[in-house]
Amino acid sequence: MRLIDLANPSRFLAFSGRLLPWLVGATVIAFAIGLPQAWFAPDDYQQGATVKIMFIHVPGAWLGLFGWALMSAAALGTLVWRHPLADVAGKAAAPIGAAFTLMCLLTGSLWGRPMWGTYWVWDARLSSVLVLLLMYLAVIALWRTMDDPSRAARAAAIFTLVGAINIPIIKFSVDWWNTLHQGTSVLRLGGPRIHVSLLIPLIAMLVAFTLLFITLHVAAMRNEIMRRRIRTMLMMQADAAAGR
Amino acid sequence: MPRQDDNVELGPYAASIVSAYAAAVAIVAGLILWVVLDGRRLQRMLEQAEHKGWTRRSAREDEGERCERTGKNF
Repeated sequence: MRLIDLANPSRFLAFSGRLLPWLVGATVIAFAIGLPQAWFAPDDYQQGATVKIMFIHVPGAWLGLFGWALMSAAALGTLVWRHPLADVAGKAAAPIGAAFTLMCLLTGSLWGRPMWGTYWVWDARLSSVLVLLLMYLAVIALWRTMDDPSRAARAAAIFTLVGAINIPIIKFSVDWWNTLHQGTSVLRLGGPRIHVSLLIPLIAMLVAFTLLFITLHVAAMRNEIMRRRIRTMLMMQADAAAGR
Repeated sequence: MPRQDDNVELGPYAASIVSAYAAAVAIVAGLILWVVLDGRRLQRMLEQAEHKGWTRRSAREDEGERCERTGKNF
């Protein structure tokens, strides 16, 4: 089967139906490996046991950004190729990305209290991630304001692409401005600055949470296709009843 | 260098660590529950509609190679 064949909603449903059990299995195995590694990871010499929060905070941050990047790619698919599966992918990713961004903010706040002495500070990194959460909520609201999915898709796609400017701002905020948040320590040119005993559990948890995101996204896309099929059926019935 | 320790002791900040993990579990569980329950509800609605004999305009086109391009064609 060619990748382009999946662009047909019926084929996507059939393929994803076969794929989902494997994705669920891979996600469960990844968490079974990652969680014990995270829990039994050694304490940091400065932060003590609070470093364990990193294993859920960093995946939350990564998937918050990944979700918007995915939505931006889908937005291009909607605006350039006007493909219905592209806007299904964009719509399905929004609540999942929002949930992971919320997880990032909450866990970061709970980590900040013992380490910084405060739950929140209006610095560039924290504020730009809060803006990302608000953008997710705005795009979810935008989808709900219009009955016609194709009209809502175009509006959401434009909003998503404009909002994508926030992604590099979040990533480089710790380099461009003085922030209370620590600098880049994983994805940097000189290599990670984290000791390998903490880096391995972090990578394991990143893989596990990414698999969870993909699994939930595929399932949410299936739900959205079913929702649109039901809508089409209801419209067909309404048209038939009106004699059109 | 991290300090190696076989026993997990959360120290004076145990409340923050446990709260952070509890928040993560609650968010992930809520997300999974929402996706699963929404899927079951929609599957049930779709089956009921098909049982009533409702059809989609695109139903006869699904088997073909044509790629659907409008929101109505799902």
